[in-house]
Amino acid sequence: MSISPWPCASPLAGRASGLRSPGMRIVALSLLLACLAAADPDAWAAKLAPPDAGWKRVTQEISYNCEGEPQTLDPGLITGAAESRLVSALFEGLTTPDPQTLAARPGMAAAWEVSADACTYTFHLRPGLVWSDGTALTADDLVRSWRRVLEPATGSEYANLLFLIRGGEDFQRGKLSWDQVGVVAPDATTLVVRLHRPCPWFLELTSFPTLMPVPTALVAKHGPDWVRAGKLIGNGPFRLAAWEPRSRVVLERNPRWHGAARVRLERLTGVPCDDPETAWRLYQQGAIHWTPAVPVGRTDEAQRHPDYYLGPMLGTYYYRFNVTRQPFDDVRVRQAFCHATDRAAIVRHVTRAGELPATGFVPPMPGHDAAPGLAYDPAAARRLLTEAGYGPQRPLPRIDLLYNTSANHKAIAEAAAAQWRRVLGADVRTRNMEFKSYLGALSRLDYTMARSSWIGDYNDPNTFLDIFRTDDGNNRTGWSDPAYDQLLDQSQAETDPLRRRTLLTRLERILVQDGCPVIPVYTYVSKGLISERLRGWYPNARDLHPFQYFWLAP
Amino acid sequence: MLNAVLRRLATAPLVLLVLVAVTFVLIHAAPGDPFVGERAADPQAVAALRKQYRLDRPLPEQFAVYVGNLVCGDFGPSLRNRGQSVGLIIADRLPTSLWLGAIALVLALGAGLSLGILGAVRAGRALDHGLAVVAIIGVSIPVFVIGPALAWTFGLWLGWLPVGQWAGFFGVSHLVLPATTLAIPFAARVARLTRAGLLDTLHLDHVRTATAKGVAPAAVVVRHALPLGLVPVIAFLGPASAGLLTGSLVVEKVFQIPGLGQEFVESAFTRDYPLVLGTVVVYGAIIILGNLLADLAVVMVDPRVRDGKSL
Repeated sequence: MSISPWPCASPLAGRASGLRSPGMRIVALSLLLACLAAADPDAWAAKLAPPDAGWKRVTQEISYNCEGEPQTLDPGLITGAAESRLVSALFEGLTTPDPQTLAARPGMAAAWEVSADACTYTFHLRPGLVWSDGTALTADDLVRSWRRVLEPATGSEYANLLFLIRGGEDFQRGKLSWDQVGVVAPDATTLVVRLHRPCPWFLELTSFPTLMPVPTALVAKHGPDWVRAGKLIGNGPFRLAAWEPRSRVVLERNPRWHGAARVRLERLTGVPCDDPETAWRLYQQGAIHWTPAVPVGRTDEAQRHPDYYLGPMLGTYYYRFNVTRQPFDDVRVRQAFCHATDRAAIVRHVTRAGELPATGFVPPMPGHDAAPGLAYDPAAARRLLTEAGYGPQRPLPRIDLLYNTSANHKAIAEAAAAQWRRVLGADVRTRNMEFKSYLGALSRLDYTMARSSWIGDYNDPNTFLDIFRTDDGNNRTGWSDPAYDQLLDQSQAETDPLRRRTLLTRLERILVQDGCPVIPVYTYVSKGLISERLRGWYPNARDLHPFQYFWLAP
Repeated sequence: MLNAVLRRLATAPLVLLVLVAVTFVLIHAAPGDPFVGERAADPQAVAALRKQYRLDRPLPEQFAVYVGNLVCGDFGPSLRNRGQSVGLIIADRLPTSLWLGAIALVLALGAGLSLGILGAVRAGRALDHGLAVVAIIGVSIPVFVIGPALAWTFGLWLGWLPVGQWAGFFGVSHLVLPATTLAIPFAARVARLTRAGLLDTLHLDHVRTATAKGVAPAAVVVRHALPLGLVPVIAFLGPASAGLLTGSLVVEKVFQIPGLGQEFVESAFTRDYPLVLGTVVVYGAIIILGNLLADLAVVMVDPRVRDGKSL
């Protein structure tokens, strides 16, 4: 199966609306959504149904490589993409992503309304929701689950996703009591959420594992062991049949899920294979139907394989500068390095899997006007370096380029170092470190230049731009620009999509042109092998593949 | 001899304590942190986690608490596998590793001893030279090459056996390739040691006497020469069996076996301090025990050592 890597831009993206006020537009849209949802919240899913009943002739059991032993299956605690796949099958948030477009579709909530200031969301849960053991699931369960995530003792590393909620951060810091936080359940099927600022991607966040409900009484009863098979109960399309550590995680259809009638798959087995080479062999033998990984060194072989797929991915591979260290404390030197990086050559000769060369930091995204960035231009690079005062009289100091140990990163680092040597005469040494040591060096700013990557959490440029705010835990460059921070605040408060769009482009321009704490190198692609028989798997930018749409063709 | 055994057993905890101390210092000296990730975690949550796992306490205190708990049989909680205790992880994965190792040990001994004896009795002939070449190949090709090669050949090319995964203790077809892979280097070494040991003893006086008295050649080898010739093999078996029972980390990865080896390697990468220490303690104990048993076995078969009472 070959899939074209890029989705077409949505025809609706960016089209000016006839309604003038942004508030009105949102109200109108949500009313429309509410009406549609009231009719049948799942009408949209009709397009995903199999063309005929042929699937009924085969046993609907699928295995896939779940890429390593899950740390836990607790939605409030997980941090990895691999765990997220399993958890999204066992639990369901207020919304659920459309597997083709990623648009927020009704999950637990059948409908919702957004207030005129875009800060208050009222969710109407589907009537009669139950956990997989048959007990009732109410809006109160969500309130308790979100509170649990925000309580520091829970140790939820993604708790800051809930800081959007009014009072969320202050509650976590112990400055507010829970009644002052903007989440209330006026009745069993209504949840009102007040945000402290508008958030255009909030309905996408509500499908995030961190915001999914957990059975808090069960968690209190069993402690951390509640996630084991036999104990765990969820509210998703599947339930946990078995979890044999490092061997298999088995999910089976949850007949109590509200959409169970549409789920074709009876059983799904995740094989925790963290070695792509082993997964490759298991796939070749037919033991698994899908492996989302291609071993290093098998790129060419994979591309010739009939089951190879290449999909888009919301992720950027980049180099970061430590702007507190010479010579990168001078923005002209950083810009010179950007201009000296030939990304096209790197993706053509080194990575070779169809990655897109990137000069901007935000991957191509419908509705975002990318900043052009600093393209490969050796003359401009040398001019900037001379302006910064470096030349034959004053050569650049030796530069260490840090990467975490991996054959891929090594090859890319050596190619980039050779380009900088050729264009700028820079003496760049590549240096590798084991992953945790490398992460430690990044957070301590104990490096000069380092490889990095960022995978977007939601389909909005903000997920890429917000991390370079001064003092953001992910900034890790020492770069700080008050104008950038202020513009970020402004873009996050802006409710007019067109004005916001302009602001986001300006932000990206500061990031990749004027301030330049990073050199974007390429946009990731997702790749792997998938059986021709596995249907209901759709390529999308977040590499999300909800299992409830899978089926096995005869 | 009983005294000697008791003395060895009594010093074992001391050896383990030193092992734990050295590991503790090394793993905490390694840069990085269990809770630092590619994506920065919420600082409050991390602070709470550090407090919960006592990582905010001074190192000597952490060490004292760890050793105190260990004495009571508590290995502590795993940092990576949220909510699981290290004791449970070991209890779950160790039997798999031991079982695989035991099968590999039987295979290695069976193949190694027979090929070694064959080499010794045909010493200097073509068969012996051929076996020597095979043994050297077996010793020198690393497991991460043998494993995938066997998987490709018997799994994908011939299609006889599964290329991986665990199907329980009696999932025989799933055990063949990993156990063989694990056994090959040990079988090769056992073969070389058996051949060398047997060649040495075949020239000893009591063996020559037996031959002179007209004992059948096969009986001479098996009854008179072999026991003494096996002394180097038995001495090697101590560390070797410990290595087989625990050293399947590469094999576990290649064949997707849920054993302790994968946990050992990964715990070091994820800085899961209690899991690193727990696996080191278990491996240490197995190695100490393996060596002790091997020494005892040498005493049993070798009258020279037995009478010298040196253990």
